Amino acid sequence: MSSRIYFIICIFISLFQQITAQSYELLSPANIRKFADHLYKQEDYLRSIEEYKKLENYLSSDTLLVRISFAEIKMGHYNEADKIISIMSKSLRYTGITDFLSLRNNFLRINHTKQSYNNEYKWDRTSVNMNLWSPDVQESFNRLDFFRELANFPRKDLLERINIFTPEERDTINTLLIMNLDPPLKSPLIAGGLSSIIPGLGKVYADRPEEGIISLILTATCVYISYTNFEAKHLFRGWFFGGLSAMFYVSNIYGTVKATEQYNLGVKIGINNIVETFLQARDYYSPTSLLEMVR
Amino acid sequence: MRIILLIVLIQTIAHPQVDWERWGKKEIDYRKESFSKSRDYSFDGLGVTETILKGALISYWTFFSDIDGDNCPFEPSCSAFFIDAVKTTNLIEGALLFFDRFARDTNPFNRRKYYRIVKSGRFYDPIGNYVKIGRD
Repeated sequence: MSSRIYFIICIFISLFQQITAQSYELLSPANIRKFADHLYKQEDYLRSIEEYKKLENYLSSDTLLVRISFAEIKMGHYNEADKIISIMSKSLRYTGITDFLSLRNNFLRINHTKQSYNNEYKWDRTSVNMNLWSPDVQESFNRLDFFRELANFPRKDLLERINIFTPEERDTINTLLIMNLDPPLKSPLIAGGLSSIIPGLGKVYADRPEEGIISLILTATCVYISYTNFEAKHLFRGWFFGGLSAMFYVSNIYGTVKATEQYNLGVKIGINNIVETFLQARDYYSPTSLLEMVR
Repeated sequence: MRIILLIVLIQTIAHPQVDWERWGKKEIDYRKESFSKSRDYSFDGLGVTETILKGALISYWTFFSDIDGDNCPFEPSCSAFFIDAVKTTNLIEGALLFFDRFARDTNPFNRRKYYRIVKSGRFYDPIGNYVKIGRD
């Protein structure tokens, strides 16, 4: 008897599990939101945006719009982020969060693509009204705006605005400003000139010494072979190797100029990366109210 | 009999999972994919000069490249680089770029700090590194 009851109870439990499993709604808005938040925290921004957009009320929810714009900025989709920022509510605009997001978007666009914010997106600094903002948002905005000016047009008078940062940061920011004003670039003209005097010397100047040595050896070898062939009256071979040495000589000058341009590009990218690492460590000076919405 | 049925039932409820392999994080290889453009042996739509140059190119492929094998440490190979350079710029500038590439190819010293490595193990050095693609 007791075994029969036990058996019936087990059947009942298993059936109950099956029934409750089927009645559970997998794709409810709450579950979609949970999944989207999970993807966002995992930094899977593309899929999290897809999931957020499945929610019916995402256009009227500032938190969701801020997260979507943040995700688009993180992926480098600056145009899409601008569109999302433009549809945020007026109440959020009065707090200054919208302008801060717009500023962050423009700073990253300038830093990554060197497109001036004035050209296409008409973002006007003077149209921003900071009077209604909290001191926290104003401070954050001014600090990030300093870096936007630094990326867009580094100049000496930015030094006067360094007081908006904490005393501990001022030395570092001063160094970053000097790096942007006077980056350690190399002149392609000097590099080309050096290569024209001694083949390969310009590549040593452009920080590629091994390639410079090889260029010198190749050109010198071809010149020597051409000379010995002319001495031995083998005119065809003399002209052939003479032509080769001329090609190596001219191509070395051309390649040196290109190598110097590549070096300079590497330096500029390096400086941009240093500035961005500095800002990432500080969450781009984002105000606390914004960080609470995106965490 | 009932006990056996009970055990089977419990087993069915307790082990619904069919896939026993754990879904772990895959190690992603961020290196660029290798690419090899297929060779175009046709003469369609070419002018006189282009036909002569294409003939010389096909001769090179047949008598040198195919016999020598795929030995270039760079990707694209030096001959493919020359073709890309001439197509992007002009014959003279393309020749200068090719001779510079040849000089870099003969460099036996450490090249890792100058070039990225693709999945085939070769150094990635496309024409886009030297010439702006799509320039007017």
